[in-house]
Amino acid sequence: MNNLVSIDPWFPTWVCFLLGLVFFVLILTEARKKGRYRVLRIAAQSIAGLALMGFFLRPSVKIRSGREFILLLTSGYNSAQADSLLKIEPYLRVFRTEDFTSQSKIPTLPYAAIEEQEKNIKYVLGIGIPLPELEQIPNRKYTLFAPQATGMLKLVIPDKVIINQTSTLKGLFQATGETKIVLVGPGGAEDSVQLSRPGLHPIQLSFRPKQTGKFVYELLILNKEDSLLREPVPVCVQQEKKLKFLFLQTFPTAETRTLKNFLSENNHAVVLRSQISKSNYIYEFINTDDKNKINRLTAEALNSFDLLFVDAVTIQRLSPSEQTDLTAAVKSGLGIIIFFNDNQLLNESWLPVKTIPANSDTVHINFRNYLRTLPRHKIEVTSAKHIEPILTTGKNILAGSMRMGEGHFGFMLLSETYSLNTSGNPDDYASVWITLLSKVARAANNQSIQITSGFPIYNDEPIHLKILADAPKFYSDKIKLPLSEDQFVAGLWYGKTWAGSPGWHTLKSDENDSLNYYISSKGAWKSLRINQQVLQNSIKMNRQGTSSLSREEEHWAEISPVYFLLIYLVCSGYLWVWGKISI
Amino acid sequence: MILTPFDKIKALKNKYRLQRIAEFVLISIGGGIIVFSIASFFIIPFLWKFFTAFFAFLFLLGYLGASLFKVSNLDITRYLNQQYKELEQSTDLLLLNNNRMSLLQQIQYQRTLFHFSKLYSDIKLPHRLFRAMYIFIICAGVSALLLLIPDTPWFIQSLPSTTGTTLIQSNDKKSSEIEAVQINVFPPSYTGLEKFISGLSLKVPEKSRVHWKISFNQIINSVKIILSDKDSIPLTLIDNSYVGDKVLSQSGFYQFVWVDQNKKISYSDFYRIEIILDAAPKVEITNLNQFTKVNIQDSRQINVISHISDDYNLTQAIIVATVSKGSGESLKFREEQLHFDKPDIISGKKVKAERLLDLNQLGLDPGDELYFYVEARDNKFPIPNKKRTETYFIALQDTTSISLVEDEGLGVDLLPDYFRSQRQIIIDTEKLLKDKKTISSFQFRSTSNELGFDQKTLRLKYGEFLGEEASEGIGAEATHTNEAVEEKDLTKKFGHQHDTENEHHLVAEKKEHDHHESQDITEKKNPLAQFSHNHDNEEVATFFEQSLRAKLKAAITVMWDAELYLRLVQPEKSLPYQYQALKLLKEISNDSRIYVHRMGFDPPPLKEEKRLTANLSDVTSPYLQSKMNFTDNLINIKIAVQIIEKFQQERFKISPSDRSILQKAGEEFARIALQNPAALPALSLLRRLADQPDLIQHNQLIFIKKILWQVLPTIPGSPSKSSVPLHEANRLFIKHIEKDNE
Repeated sequence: MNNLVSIDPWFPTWVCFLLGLVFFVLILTEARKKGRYRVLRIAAQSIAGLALMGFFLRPSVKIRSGREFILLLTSGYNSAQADSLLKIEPYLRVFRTEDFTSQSKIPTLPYAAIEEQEKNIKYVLGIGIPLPELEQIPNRKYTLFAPQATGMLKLVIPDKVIINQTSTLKGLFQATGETKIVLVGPGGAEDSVQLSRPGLHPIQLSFRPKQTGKFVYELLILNKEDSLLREPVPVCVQQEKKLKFLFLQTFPTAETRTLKNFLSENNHAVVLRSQISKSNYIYEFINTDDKNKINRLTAEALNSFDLLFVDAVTIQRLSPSEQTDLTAAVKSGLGIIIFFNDNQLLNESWLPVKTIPANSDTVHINFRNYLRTLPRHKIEVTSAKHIEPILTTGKNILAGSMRMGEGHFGFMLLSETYSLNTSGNPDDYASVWITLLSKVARAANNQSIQITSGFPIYNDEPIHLKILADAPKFYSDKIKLPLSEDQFVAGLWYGKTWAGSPGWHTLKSDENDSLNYYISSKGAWKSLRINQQVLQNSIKMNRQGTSSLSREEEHWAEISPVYFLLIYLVCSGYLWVWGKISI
Repeated sequence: MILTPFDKIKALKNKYRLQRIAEFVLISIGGGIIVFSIASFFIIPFLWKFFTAFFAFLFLLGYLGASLFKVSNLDITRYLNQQYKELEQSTDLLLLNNNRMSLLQQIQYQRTLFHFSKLYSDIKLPHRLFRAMYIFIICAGVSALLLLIPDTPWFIQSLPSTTGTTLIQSNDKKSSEIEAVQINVFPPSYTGLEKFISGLSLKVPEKSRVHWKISFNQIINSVKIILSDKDSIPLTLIDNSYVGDKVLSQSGFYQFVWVDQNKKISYSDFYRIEIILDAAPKVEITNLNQFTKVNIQDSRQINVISHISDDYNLTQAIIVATVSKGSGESLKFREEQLHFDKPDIISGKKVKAERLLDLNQLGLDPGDELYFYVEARDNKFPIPNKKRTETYFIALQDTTSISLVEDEGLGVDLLPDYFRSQRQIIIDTEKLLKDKKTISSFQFRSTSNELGFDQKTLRLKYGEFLGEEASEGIGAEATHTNEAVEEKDLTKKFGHQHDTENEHHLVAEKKEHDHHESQDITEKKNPLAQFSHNHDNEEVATFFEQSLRAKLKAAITVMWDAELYLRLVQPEKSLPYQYQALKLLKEISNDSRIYVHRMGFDPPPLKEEKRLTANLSDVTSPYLQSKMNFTDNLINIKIAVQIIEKFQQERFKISPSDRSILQKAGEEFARIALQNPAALPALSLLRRLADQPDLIQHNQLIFIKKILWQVLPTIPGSPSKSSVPLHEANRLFIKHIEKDNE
């Protein structure tokens, strides 16, 4: 009951209680009086007592709000759903958003007014409030009835596309029928996928750029009805950043020789040390002016390299000081890859891995269009740390890496990868090594800038940035960006920018770090944007917790004391008149 | 449905109309295509030609078919009355209403109806369909002939456009445009070809003089032709046309460049130049094998027949003969040039020439050899093309025994031990035959068998020289035999083993011929191994020149027979083969005169005082330093791709530096386009992009970019440094993770 009526008495409660007792006595007195209309008199006395109590206690009752709720129609709404809602809740006022122009008879709720009317919006039908406007609304307590999205629902364009390396475009596609998706690059079709059934399909399209630059590939979506949709796919192809490698080996092998040639032919700097006697080595310096002979490993010597290749025998022969220096170098960013010698186990305590014998000495690796059998070391690598697999067959990890401080430790269990190169498959040879080397090698220490707004971004829409740097200064198309630092994490900055025209734009820092981003034309990637909009609307509504359908807008309304006074006067009047008549 | 007489007459009328319409349509089409082919002689667009022809067709059809609308039912009945007497001139009655007829008319109606119904299916209406068909066929033939007529002298070729756009890249209607181009090609006089008129894409014989005559729609300042080899031809104004000529001897492409009175430079598309090179004559000797052996009893006169041909004309053909006399160090050569007997003068495109070679006249004695080849020349001026056949050999056999030449002064004795063995086998065989009566049958058989084995060993060894190791190698067979026997025959472990491939230790014993086994393993591991190791290919692996292979093969074949009869215990039958084998081997040994320098490793002198002291103080670690310097021949194309992509997106104003890059890219691309004329349109567009970027359409940009992208090579990728930010926050995070892991 307390939930329905609330009191706010003029006087302390006990005074009211006493007053109630007085009235109770008066009722009893009235009941004892003889005469006509006895019941009426008792009732009048009781009502008068209650009315007086009501006057002093000032009761409030919970009543439902008298506001008019809004049903907001946005693009892509289902008219049957709207009719159904209006049937259940006929008091709903119907509005449409500015971007939804097909129903011109329905009054428009300007985006500027949405914030003001936000409390009254109860239902949103269609794809929801556009993302830029959605950000402006502090509270979102509406229920969204979104249509089933079709087409490309999600698209992940690789952040870093390196020249001559295969990159993959991943996405989720909701097909309505037989559909063909073709990725077209500057040189023509790169890859395609055929979807034969309707439904949600994960898709992957690969491409291999031959030139650096900012390109706009095209995704052609052809469905069974022969409708062709062309969507732009921005791809920023970067030149690979050159690395400096150090090879330490007790004797030259075909494997290291081929790898050395592969790296040096790609203009990477390579220093190779092969042992020729106990204290003498033969050195090769390729693509580097460096001529420092590294007879023993020191932190200083190792810090000038990005990746160290070392064979198991050399590892075992390292002195304790060299082990310490090497560990420190790896922890400060150096990458290290172990070459195993035959099937010799390597169980050095200072290394993060242990090796155990394995049964198999060959593996079958599925390359692009053929299966290749390659010999491997009869060794398995185990570690207490998490090994990130890089090359696997089934459950076997043939190449992997793990973090050691800021650096990485990697290994390769394939023993004759050079045969791929010599048998005329340099692409496959490169594919075996590139991921491992890029992963394990020392990373460049750049400022991190990230665009948190999802693709696509249209012109004149806000672009949200997240930057991890100390006092960064960033410029968007030569305009300095205002940044605000996170209140908890030092060095984490947020910013916002706008781009006025479709096409490529660049964010640059004063430290020559840059980030290219692409602004799409308004009509591009509709399905992707719709899905994002629906998703963002749904997420933000869910963050508020409750659904509008189960929530009643109620408040306490005080019952006016005048009513109680009038009732009291009427009842008292009756009793007074009856007294006069009966006399 | 039963048709009334009226309906039937109406149907006949319709049928008549249809037949005549078909007839007229055929004639009209014929007329139309004639008009089309005549219109093709004029420089008008295709649509104009088509519409002219179509109007001609319509006109003819209307003219011929107009009368058909006047044909009535009465005309049909009139025709029927005239053609069919049975109808008694009363067919008209069938058109009348039966109810309104008089009695007499009704009776006649019935009679006519009876006859009409009978005749109806056989009624033939007049038409001239076949005549129309003939007219159509004749018209079609005439049109085809008209269209096939080559360009007549007054024909001025309409300008083709390789890109589907106009030749001139300006939208300005007042800009200068090429109105007509006439190209005359004058082939070199020695070819005997008449001058001809060519299209803009030239396909001309080598050294042809090409004469361009261009007229413009307005007066221009200057015009020249730019060739792909950077050469240019300025054209001079003669009679309102610009003319110029050039002798072309290199394939490539060209374009017109002109400056109008507003000093505006305009470029045409690129056009191909394809040079038909004057091919060298084809010469072959058809009646002789490359190696001919003339026995002493054979005729010493050999007829040489040679078929010689050339694309233009032949001027000379001779036989160049070299007589080789003597042997060993006293070998002498004499060269002679012999003319063919028939024909006396070599001339024409195809000649069958003959010459009788008299070996006596050439001075060949037994044992001498004649080497000759036929050489022919064509009429190319100034330097004729010449071609010769391979060298043919004629050897006059020597009746005397051939002595082995072994010069001790030679560095290497290429003659293996087996060259003496064949003689030894012969001696042993002759001895065996001589002793046949004195020795036991068993011993005779055994010795013959052993000699057979010797013969086999000898054959296999020569086979090895020929490269037959894999197919019938000694080692492979021996290994196999040993494996098979090893388990079964234990006595061989303890006894003396005969009849092995190297019983007499004629060659150094091979410890283990495990090549095949290891090869099998290699093949299992690497299926490509078979492609990278040609050791077993007998066609490739040989120690001898090709000319000796035939002799050596023949010797081995003869040895097979010799061995066969020795194994069959018929040494007397084996002997002739053995003699023949010996003879062949001697010839081979005489022919293979080779000198090889002695080679060896001369180590540096050692300091005796430093030996075995274990002092490495002066020994330093050696090092090699190198740099991979790659020159990128397509660097400008790569940058041009970036520029085009940016231009496609932003349509910015192309800067002078970008224009320079595009022009350089064009030069790089031109080198590729030379080998692939299909890329010429892209080259034209690239040039246009550099000069008049505003006129380039979006799809043309895509086309250029696509072609340039395709030119770029696909090369394997290379690892790259990742750029993970290492901010203090990250470092702290990593430290915490490390701590947690520990």
